[in-house]
Amino acid sequence: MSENYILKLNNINLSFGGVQAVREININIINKQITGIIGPNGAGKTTLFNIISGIYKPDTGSIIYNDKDITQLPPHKITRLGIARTFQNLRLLARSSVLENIMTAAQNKFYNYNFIENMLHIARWRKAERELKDLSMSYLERLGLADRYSQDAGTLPYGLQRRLEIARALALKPELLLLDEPAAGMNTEEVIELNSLITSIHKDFNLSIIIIEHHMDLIMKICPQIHCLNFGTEIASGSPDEIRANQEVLAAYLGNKK
Amino acid sequence: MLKFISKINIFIVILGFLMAYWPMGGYQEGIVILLCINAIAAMGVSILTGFTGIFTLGHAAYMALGAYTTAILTVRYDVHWFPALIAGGIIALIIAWLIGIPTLKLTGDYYAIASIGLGEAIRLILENWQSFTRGSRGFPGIDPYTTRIIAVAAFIILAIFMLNLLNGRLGRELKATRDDNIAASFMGFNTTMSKMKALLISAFYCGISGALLGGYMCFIQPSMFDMMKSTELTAVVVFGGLGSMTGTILGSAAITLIMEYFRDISQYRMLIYGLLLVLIMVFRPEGLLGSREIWEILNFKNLYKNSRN
Amino acid sequence: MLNTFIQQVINGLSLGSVYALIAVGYSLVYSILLFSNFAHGGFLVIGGYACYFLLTRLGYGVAVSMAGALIASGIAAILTERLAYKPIRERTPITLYLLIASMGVNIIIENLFVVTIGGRIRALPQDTFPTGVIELFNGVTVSMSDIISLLAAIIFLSLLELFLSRTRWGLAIRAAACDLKTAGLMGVNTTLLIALVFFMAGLLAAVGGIFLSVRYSLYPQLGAITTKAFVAAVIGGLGSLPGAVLGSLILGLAEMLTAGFISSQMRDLVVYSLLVIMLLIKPAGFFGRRVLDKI
Repeated sequence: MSENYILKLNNINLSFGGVQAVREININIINKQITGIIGPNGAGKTTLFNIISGIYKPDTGSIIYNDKDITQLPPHKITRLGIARTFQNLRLLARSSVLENIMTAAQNKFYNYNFIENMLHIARWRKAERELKDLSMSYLERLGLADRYSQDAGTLPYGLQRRLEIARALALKPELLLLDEPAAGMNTEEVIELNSLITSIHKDFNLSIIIIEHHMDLIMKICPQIHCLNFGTEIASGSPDEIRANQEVLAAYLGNKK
Repeated sequence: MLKFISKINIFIVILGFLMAYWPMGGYQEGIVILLCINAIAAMGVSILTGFTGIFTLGHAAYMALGAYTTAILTVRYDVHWFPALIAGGIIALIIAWLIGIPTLKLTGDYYAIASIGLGEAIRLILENWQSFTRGSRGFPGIDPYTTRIIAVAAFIILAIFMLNLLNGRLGRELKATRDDNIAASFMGFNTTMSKMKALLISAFYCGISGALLGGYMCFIQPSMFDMMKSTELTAVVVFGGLGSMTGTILGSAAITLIMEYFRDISQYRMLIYGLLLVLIMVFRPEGLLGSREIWEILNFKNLYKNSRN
Repeated sequence: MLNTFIQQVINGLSLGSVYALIAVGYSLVYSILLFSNFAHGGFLVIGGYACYFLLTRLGYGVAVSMAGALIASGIAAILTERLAYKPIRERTPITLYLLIASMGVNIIIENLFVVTIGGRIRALPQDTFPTGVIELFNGVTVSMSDIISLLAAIIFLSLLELFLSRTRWGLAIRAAACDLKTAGLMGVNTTLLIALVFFMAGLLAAVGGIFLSVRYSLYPQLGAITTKAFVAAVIGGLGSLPGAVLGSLILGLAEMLTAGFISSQMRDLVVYSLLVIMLLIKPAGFFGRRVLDKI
């Protein structure tokens, strides 16, 4: 393989009070590809996302993003470097409108008026706010939420809240998008829709994406590269076919269920 | 929305002219001045408590800092009142910055209790630093620089600045921090910095308010800025509606007028005030306007379309 | 020098024990409902005045008056909870509203006394408690009232500890301190439990109020001293009962040592500086949020 990795996890370990949540993880994420991370409940998938995005600091190991060590950076700096994420349990600004949710996210990459201009509302503020609104509306249109722009985010149906989370992550103009169980709680039809949505935003926004998912169908269809975790360690990686044929993966899933 | 903001600004300016030039007697003038001074402090607490979700019980201390700075500069050093007023706001802001570094990490009731402690500490320092502040006897002989026109002008300017600030990037940043600290940090905000911004603005407003109060009363005393005053500031903000700046202004006006109305039966005044606090919390905890601004209530629909044209 | 030190340590422990009575009640309520109950100062004042009136106007003995005061305060606390807090709790989970309502209740209680019986300072009758002074050695003295307040604090706090550790309701309260909702789902009658907690808090506040009015005097604003008990509870760790006791003793000692060696005007300033230093070093206080492990 060439050095075309957007993210490298080198020997990541993390334990909480004696429980090893993540053990010796070495995963390289290929640039501009959709990578899947699967594994039974409690395998450490979300913990891994939390480590990448800066909520948890690993006990050992390093995270290299675009040749930059981001291991010790706080979440807001990691976000500003171009890693955006969604949450398994939605974290929208429930009391703000759908549009405001997007504008709040988009404004950091849209910095063209300062404190004084904000205070005085001079012409540049006017223009910038209008552009920011149009930009944010374009994300909403892209995800089919445009007609809901004025609604409070907390009052959207569940499926649309998930979409809004993705829209908000896109508004951060990321290079790497982390999706934490985007299909959770969705029916088959919605999963199919989500499937095409992810592939299309991957193409249109020229992103690298990592997806954590339980829905094997979704992962197998859209991820050329899959990593499988169990008990905090990586037990297999490879193409969907390789994963499907892997005995350890089968054992992890079956052993967990039965 | 832009058009509405502008309309609100024009409305505020017209209201200001009326308040400043409508002929009225000395007593009414006093009430107008108090309304303005109280509203400025309430706006300061509102940006912190209502928009950033940090609950303070010590903001009277920033009023005290502003009042004493301005009083000492004008009386002892013959500084013109205007630069002294600004200096009062800035001293409050600087102290807030020093206090904010350690305390803004605290959450919930811890910050509230810490703010009581710090507020009382500042008051006690002013009380004990006799050579500089004349201690608990109070500081007399301040020039009556807070005329009706000046109080109204200060209120109008600061209100417009505040509403403008909240309608834009800063407002969204603060609300995101308030509603979900973690989500806000994943939208690229340094939430400690966001809270600091709110605290600094809020201390500045309270400092200016205190300085104006000094110029109105011509006499200040540490006990004017005790925990009771801090509680009142926060109560006014809650009464107006957390997350509504226009609600804060209305709430502050309402409480000021109610308290003024009961001035003649002063021993019942505090009783009524306490009762009011409990009744509001029990029957209308969301306050006068909830978390909406007045223009959102008056014109609920088509916000986005209006702003596009 | 050494004598002053020992003298002030004794005074500090005595003062600290009164703070502890107040701080523990406050912490108890905090541990269950997670809000700072500022009406606590009002309960204390009610206790003080009830005791005063039972003693002076109705001529009861000390024991009866004290018991009456404790019950009056406890009932006031339950009523406060029922009339003011319960409707709010049922409507919203935001504890800020409870906090502001509790400040309102405090203002109401304080000013009810001002309006009805006036704001002047009163003293409990001289013969309420033995007033003698015992000389320990070399001029180090301890007043009987200090000894009694220290003993009372120890007795009441031990009773509370016994209640919490040995009885079914004590167990229920400890469970509710971990998670009120879950305790409710497990079959604990939370309405009754909350009433019980408020009753105990009011009772402890009344004990504190009586000894404070012996130590200083009785006036409607006496409740303001609870701010210091809150500070003590924060220093010890909000919601932790052993923390509240420890914080109170530290505060009492700091106050009295400052009064003895620096100046008594600096007492309060030292208290608040201590709070700030503590928050800088250990923001969660000594006993963090490990609630009610032991007292």
